[in-house]
Amino acid sequence: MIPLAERGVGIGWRPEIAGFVAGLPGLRFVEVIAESLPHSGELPDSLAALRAAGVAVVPHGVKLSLGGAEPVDPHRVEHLAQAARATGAPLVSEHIAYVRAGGVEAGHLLPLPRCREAVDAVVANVRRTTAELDVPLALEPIAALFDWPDDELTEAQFLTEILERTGAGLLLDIANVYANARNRGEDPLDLLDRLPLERVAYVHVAGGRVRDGRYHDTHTDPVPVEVLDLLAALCERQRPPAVLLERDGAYPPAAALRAELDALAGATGYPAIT
Amino acid sequence: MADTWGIPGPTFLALYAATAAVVLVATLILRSRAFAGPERVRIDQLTPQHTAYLAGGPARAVYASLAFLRQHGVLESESSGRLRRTGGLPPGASPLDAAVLHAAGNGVRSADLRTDHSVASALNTISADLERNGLAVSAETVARARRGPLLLLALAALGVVRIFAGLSNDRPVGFLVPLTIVVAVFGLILVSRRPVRTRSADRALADTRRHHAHLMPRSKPAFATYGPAQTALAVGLFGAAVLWAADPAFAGDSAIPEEREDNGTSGGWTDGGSSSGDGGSGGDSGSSSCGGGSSCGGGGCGGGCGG
Repeated sequence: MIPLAERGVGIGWRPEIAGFVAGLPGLRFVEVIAESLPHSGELPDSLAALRAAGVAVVPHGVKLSLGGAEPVDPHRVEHLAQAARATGAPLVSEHIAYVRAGGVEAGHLLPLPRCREAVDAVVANVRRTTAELDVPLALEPIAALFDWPDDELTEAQFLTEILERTGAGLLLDIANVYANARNRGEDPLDLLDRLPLERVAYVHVAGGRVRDGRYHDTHTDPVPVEVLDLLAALCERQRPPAVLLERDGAYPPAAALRAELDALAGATGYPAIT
Repeated sequence: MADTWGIPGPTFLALYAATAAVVLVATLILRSRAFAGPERVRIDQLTPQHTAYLAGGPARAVYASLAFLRQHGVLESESSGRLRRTGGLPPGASPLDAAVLHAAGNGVRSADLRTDHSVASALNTISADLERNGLAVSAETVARARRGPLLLLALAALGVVRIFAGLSNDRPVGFLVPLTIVVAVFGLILVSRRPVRTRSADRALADTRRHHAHLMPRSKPAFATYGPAQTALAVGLFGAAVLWAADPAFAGDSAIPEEREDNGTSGGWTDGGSSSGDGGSGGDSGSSSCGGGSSCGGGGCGGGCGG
């Protein structure tokens, strides 16, 4: 069964725009930062109201550090599992990245070298995590502003191997695909054609801007038309079950946010939720 | 030895207690009715400035207007606190918004807005609207509701006179003293309690705050997303803290007081400007006036127990 089948266009739930999200008439799916939920399992009122209205709530972890060389912290895994239970989530998601090493917090999602050893480490950590989860896990590759010098695998090989060995779904960030390809002078469609698109659980779409000649995936700027076009190209190949607008700051007027959600609906052919 | 005033102590005590009980019960019933408000009130159709006035008085209504105009980008504040108008009246503006913008065009300071003629007149209209809709308690209702408590205070005074008369007459006053204190305390508490809102309005306001919890400053609302009208409503419901959260530079320049978020748990607001001036107890609408009562009780006890 596909966890978010036909859930269509969603938006990242953030306390700052909770009132806006609550007012979207066609909304069927949101994502919430897993670490922002209290361990008690009590949801913020407006999130609980969405859940009660049948909106799927997907906890999205950012601090598990699945790509770390050391095993994932069992407390963090338990919190993610608890967040999934509290939200009645059909699945949860995390990043293929590391955020700490040797006890030092990076404060950022850092990319892994694409080697066999890293694949083994991620696979081991994903297995430790899914053993505690009652729902499927989707993995999100992160934007890499640089490549490690000793990469043995291509991005597509690296991801495919992790997904096949763990059985996890893919959370594809289409703005990342665009950013990586643009900053490396590659064609983003090449990567799409080599990824296991049938494994896509849902898609992230975010805005960004060009600064000093490089594209930055900021989540605080409008979604560029190139990213929307790439989303449409993805849907031509394999339409994902659901697609989510991620906005994390510099929130624009409601009309602008609605227009972005409508643009996502337009690019995917899913019904408008505004 | 003759009874004081020709009335035997136990008879006076019984009559006094009965009268005080009747007056107290009648007062509580009448006040409960006077402050109840209509069975069902709606505040979701009010302008944000009406809601602001209801929740936080005229000062907050003006802050709500400032928030609305500021979010529309038609208002600036110089560091001197003087306002400057930078645009026309936005659509959806309330009469108070129009008056505030007009005053801003004349270079009025934020702190002096309420003394501006047209602003004051718009505020009076809001106040009258709130009273007409059974949301705010009118001055006449408050005055009427004070009759009972004043009667209780008169009874307490009678008790004090009787205590002194009894003492000078060498009669026991041991029961009358505590009774008089109780009557005085009730009288003082009730006379100082002047609610600004009906109970219906309190309930409706609590509902509205719950419904708009996402506008609380503590959830760091994206006011640009919610827009000017919702920002003004947020100021109305949760106070000037919203203005600081939405636009700290403007709030600072306009010398908006830095208050904590108003979550509706503290009593009502007070309007220092329109105190009706009838005696001792200032504009306290809260419930913490027992201090006055007990100080009076202490005095009475000092006189009574000594004899």
